[in-house]
Amino acid sequence: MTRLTGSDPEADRVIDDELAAFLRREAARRASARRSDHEIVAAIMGQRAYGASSRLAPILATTALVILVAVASAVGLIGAPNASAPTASTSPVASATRTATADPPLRLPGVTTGGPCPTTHRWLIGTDGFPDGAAIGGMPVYAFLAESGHPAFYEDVGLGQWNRIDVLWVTEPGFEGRFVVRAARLGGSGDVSFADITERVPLPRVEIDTSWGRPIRTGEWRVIGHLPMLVREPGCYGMQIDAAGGSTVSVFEVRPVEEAYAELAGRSLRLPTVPPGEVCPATPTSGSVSFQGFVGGVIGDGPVYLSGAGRAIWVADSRELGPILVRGGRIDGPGELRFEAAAARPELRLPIHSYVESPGQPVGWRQFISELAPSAPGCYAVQIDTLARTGYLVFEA
Amino acid sequence: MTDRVAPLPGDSAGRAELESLVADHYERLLRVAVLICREHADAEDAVQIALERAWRHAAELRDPDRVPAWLRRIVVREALRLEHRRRGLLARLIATPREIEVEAESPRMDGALRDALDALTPEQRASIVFHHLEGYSVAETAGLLGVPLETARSRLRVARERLREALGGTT
Repeated sequence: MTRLTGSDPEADRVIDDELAAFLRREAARRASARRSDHEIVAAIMGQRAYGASSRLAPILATTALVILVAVASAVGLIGAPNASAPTASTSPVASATRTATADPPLRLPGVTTGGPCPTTHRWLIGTDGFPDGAAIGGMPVYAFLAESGHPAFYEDVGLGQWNRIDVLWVTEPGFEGRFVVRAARLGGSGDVSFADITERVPLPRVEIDTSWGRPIRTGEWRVIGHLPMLVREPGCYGMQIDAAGGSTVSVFEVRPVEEAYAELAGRSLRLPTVPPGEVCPATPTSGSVSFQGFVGGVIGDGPVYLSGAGRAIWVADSRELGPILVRGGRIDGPGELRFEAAAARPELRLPIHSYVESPGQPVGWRQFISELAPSAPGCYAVQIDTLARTGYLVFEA
Repeated sequence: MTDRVAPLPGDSAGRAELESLVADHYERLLRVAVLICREHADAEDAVQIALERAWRHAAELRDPDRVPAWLRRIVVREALRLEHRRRGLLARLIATPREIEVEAESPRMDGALRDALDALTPEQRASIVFHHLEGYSVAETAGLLGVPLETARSRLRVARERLREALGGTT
């Protein structure tokens, strides 16, 4: 091994040996949790809907859906037509079994280049634990991909020219089996793919089985999980879902998530104030976040919770699927709150797609880890802006 | 969890070749990737991308002896890309709570070295992994990383000094 520094060759050799031994131990430790060869082969061959399957598998395997089971009572479907939604279609299909070659013809509407996007109905699903936003699709398959009244936002997550839209899939009570999803850009060029891996041949068709997910209760709505949709650019997109129970066509706009953050940043920062010397009205610890593997208490009633005041863990429950903007400051005296100590950011953007997961984390929940950097000890507040709401958390630091 | 999505056209014929690639290379490539990526999922993605590329271009790989080094280069490139992307998306994303618990059980020296390793730049980590774990020479490390010899030498020097400090601080 080539020597790099040092005047004592024997001491250098010992250090090199210790470093190599540490690296071997560490590599073995970190690589000990790995997928089986069979799973890797299946993922590469495209037998899963998305390449980063390791991120979803633990969720599907261990999801307890504690919150859903605890409080889900009323299951209802309330149609909530979008103000600009002139067309939605639901029609029966002839066959319950189909292959790629037997798919029904695509019935996506034509859109003039540069013309308006004929967005279709969204649906509010009145089930506790489901996102507050509206879903596209229709009986029996629905997809949550945006906040109500907003376009679907995509993120650049390092997939080359592809941008990722996180989509949470759910199915109606009583529906079991496979459904086929196809999508395309309308009124412009640009591929769509359901394969979350770089440089893969675009996969604009995906077949999903309800057995991937779990029902909230026996005979109830089934949460399939996140299956991303990839697009190359903003525009108007159509999605057709063919299932044994029906075939639906949805049309929606796709925009970069930066536009959503710009909208959130445009809201005024209105932190509560505390007179000097008064007790800090810290947000109480919530008992509503408890899933296996999550450590530490959190404050807040959600949908965004905070754990810790230095190295902080943010948790967003399934009611909130969109981008989150966090800003804050000291409220009992002069002082600032920055995020990521080294970068001293005045705001924290929590993305739609989170890489951080815990065993047992319910589907639709997200975790983010960051650093809070208060300028001095005191009482601090953060304003949490999402497309649907604005909330506040107060804590001492 | 398999056979739920139709395979890509023509893929089924090469399944045996893919299985062989995975069996021969996955474990060792993953041990390289996990030391460069701080997120296990990124490491797995980097290896998966490399193996998929090798599988799809198997017919173009004329010299089987060069496959391991070729795969390493792809893994490192993808690992560095994913690591930089993660840093850009949300700075200082760290391990899951479960991984934190595992770290707490490790020897003190490994903990200090681990912190020092994670504090290196991804390029420095890649250099130290190739040179000190895989046993490549400085010149070979430079070649694998696609950087000039002096760049590789400089990265190794800095990385080694920082790890050496961590090592010294625990004894």
